[in-house]
Amino acid sequence: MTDSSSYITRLCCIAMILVATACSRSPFVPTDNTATQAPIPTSTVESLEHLDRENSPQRSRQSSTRSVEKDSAIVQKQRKKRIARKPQSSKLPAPEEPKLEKPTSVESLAIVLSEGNPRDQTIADEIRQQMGIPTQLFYLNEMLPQQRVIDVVQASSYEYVVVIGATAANRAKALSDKRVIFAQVFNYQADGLLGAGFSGVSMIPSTQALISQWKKVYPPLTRLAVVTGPDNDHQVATMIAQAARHRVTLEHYIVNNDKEMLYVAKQVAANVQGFWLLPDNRVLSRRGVKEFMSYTMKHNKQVAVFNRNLLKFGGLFYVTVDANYVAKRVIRAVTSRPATVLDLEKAKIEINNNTIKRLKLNAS
Amino acid sequence: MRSIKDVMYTYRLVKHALRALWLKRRKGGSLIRRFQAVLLVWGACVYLFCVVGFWLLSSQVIEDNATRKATLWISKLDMLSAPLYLSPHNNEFDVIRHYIRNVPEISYISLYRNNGKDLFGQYIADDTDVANVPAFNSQLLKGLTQQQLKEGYIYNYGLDTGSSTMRVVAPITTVSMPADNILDFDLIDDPGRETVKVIGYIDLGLSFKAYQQQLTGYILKGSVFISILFLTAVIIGRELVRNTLRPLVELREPLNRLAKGETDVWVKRTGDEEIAAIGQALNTTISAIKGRDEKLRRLADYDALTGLLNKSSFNQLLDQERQRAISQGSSSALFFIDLDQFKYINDTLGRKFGDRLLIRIAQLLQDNKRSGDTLARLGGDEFAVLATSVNKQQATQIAMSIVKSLYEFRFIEQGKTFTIYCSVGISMIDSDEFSTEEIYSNAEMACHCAKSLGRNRCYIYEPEELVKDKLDIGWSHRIADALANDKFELAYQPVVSLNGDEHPCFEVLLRLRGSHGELIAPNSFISIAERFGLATQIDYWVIENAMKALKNSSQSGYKWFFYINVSGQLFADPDFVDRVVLLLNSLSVDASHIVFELTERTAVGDIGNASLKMEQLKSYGFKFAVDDFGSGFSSFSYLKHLPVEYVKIEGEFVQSIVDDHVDRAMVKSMVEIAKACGKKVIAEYVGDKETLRILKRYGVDYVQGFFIAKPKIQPIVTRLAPKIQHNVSALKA
Repeated sequence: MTDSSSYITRLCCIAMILVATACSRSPFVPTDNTATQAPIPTSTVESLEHLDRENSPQRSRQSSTRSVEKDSAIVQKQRKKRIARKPQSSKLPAPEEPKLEKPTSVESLAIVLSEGNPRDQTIADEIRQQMGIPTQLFYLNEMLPQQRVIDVVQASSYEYVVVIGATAANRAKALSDKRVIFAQVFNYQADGLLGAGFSGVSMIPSTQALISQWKKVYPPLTRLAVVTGPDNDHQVATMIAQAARHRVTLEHYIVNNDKEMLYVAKQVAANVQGFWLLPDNRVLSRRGVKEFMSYTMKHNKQVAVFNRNLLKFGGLFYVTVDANYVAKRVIRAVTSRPATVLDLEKAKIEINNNTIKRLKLNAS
Repeated sequence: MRSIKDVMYTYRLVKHALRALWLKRRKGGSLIRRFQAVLLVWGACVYLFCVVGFWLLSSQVIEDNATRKATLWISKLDMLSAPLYLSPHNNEFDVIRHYIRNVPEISYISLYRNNGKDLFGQYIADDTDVANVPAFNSQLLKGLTQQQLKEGYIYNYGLDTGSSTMRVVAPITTVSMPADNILDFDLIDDPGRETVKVIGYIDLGLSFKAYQQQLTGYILKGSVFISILFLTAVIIGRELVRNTLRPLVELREPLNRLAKGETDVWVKRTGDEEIAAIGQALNTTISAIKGRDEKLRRLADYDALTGLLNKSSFNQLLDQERQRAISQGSSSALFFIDLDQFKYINDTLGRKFGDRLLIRIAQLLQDNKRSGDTLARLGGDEFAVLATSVNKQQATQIAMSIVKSLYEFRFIEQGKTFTIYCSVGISMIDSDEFSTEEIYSNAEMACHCAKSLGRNRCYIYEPEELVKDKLDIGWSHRIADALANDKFELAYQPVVSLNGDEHPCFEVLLRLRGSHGELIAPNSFISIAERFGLATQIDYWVIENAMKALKNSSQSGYKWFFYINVSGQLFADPDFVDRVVLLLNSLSVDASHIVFELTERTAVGDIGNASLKMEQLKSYGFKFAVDDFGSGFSSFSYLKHLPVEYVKIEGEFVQSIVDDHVDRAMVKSMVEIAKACGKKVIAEYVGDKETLRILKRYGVDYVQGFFIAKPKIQPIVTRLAPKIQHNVSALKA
């Protein structure tokens, strides 16, 4: 059942890409989630920090969606300027621009991903579609020995391997003599992916785009907080720098588990105007998230969430990135061999109008 | 457990109290007191139930509250302590200690590492004894599912009422989501893929001593308040009950009087409807009791038929009058009245008519008595009058007036007219010589004397006759005994015809066999028998046995004739004719062989009655003779009217006929008169040959006497009969 559904999904994606190419349509197509799930009145904003030179910016078909493209150069400069988080503010290294090699030609590609994850599957399909080279997908199944899949990949002739998701990335650490590019991994630093010689694409949407949009909704915004587990300095430093461009202080708190996250969040809630909930699975649990959302809603705190389901629990923004764009960034990472992780320079933002009304924010 | 013991103890107390009340009721007591006691016990029960219920409810509330608080504290401590386990700084526990030090309800907190043994941090309140902090047993929390751990499992030891402490233990857990698919997880639909990790344990003790002390204080205050209310209610209730039951209590006095036999009681019909109804019912009951008492008194004191005083109440009155007469030195008189012909009417016309006759006579006596005298019916046909302040003469006049009033009374029933006579015995009450019973007995005895003297008369009792009367009474008992036990015997004295009549004739004579076998002649007891009314029974006995002897002789081939003496009382018996005829028929003897001898006095005394009955019996073949003819000259004029065939000359004349020329002349005259009247003459007491010769010369038809033959018992007569016959024939020759 899972195999057949994945096959159908892949066929559908190929068909969509073909249609989109034929019609010269924008690559920023809303995900299935945004198209099908609409119980919460939201408005969607696609934000582009860095306009890709290979693609012309075009407006989305949906009238309710408006794209905001911004130059991310300024953000890149601000990366060095970060707001010190309370526990380890003085110890964080300043983020650096990843060095890109000259694009090389890739003849074939292997993609390893976990089975049963539609979002990752879409990204994989986009990569295969956009690359136009022989690409083979390898699925990790919870019911089967995953190492065997890795062994198969190892034995194959593929030089380039794209791993999507944390499980695939961690399994891929066993590969040798392969160029591994990861995607959709939040804790790549903690998982030691960079140390394993991997390069990849960040999971965090454009901070600049989010803050820009947040400021439009709530101009007095000056102080936000993010709570993550340890070893996320790299990407958090980037986020802090981008926030600072909009005169917003992004405070970073490091915790070890869901209870600590909740505890810290409650402790700092009085000092910040909102939270950006990041997808660090180590410090997130359903009970913790539920209580966190309940607490913030009760205390009229603005929260940007990474999961659209959290909008109905009081989230103000749903911040995500289109799979097509993620695929582009992955291809870029594959071809240009960055020494580190490529940031996402776009963001797709949905605004919860209910929360706007509840918090009496600027709906325009 | 302790609460249950308290409840059981209370139950036993109430049970004992109710048992005591029950016993009290059984022994009797005041309704009001018992009602108040029931109210008191019930109120105390309600009070105890309220207090116990309040205590149990409060304890339950405390336990629920403790459980809720413990859950909250576990949740809070779970959050507070989670960073501690992962933080390198163990002094973070001071934060917790600082946080909870002002919370009096926390008795102790013990944080253990995930091995359940190593104590990670501990807080013990100042007022908690360290020895009271229990040891932790992590085995209770082993084997919990992921879901239980995620939901925050808490093990509750429950509230220890002894130490007022609630102990709860819980694991400290962290939960993390899977890294993949985190962007699309659903908060509501939990697939259960989260990872749960136990990092330690919390052992929490919450003290509720302060709450319980506070609660106990409230209960005590509430109890005092309820007690005051309860006592007030008891006092008010007591007065209310007393007021409510006052009409009921007021019934007590008339009911007590009623219980003592007083019927002049009237119960007030005031008060509530129910009490008024009871009063009405009691009054009705009292009226009924009074009526019944009156009726019973009348039945006890008065004769139901005539309405006169009965014998019992009359005896009391007699006794009182005797006392009065003795004390005042006056004299009174008791009249014993016995009707002479009542039995005849009663048997002839039936009891119903007899009763009517008694009522009429009672009314007659009542009308004729003096005012102030007392009339009573003693039973049957016996009446009594108690006349006060009378002497003997006055008493005799009163008695005569009674006799006269009855003599003149005619009772007409079914077209027939009946005459009723009475005999009156008088006993004077003028000294303490006789008791009340003796006075009564004397009057009765006097009445018997009056009867024996021919009825329809009065007789006054004289104390001088006391000895004789006592002897007579002894004779009367012997006569009654002889009648009952057949101790009479018959003797037969031949009566010989001087005119050639060959049939043997005998005069039947009565004898009483004495206690030593001797034969007693009737002149010793016949007068006594007549006096005590036994003569009639003797006559019937003689007639019956003579008829039996006649039947036996007839069956033996003899043809005898019997002369049977009958008393004057027999002729007064209305059953005389019927009973004789009945005997005649039953024994089948020839009535012409029987001659009844009646004395001249009997025949002439009531010549009408005697003639009537003689005529009736003669119609069956019986014959009659006048005995002792000549003893009273008044009988001469009646002789020609008497339906008798024979005249027996008084023996005293015959006895001295040889020596006394007067007697001789009288005998000669009597024979001539009898012959002139067509009667045959019998001479008795023939003692010698000369007498016999003279009598024969005068024309006497039959003779009897010792010269002829002495009286003999029947077998001797039978054996000597031929010889007698021979002697008589020789004399004739």
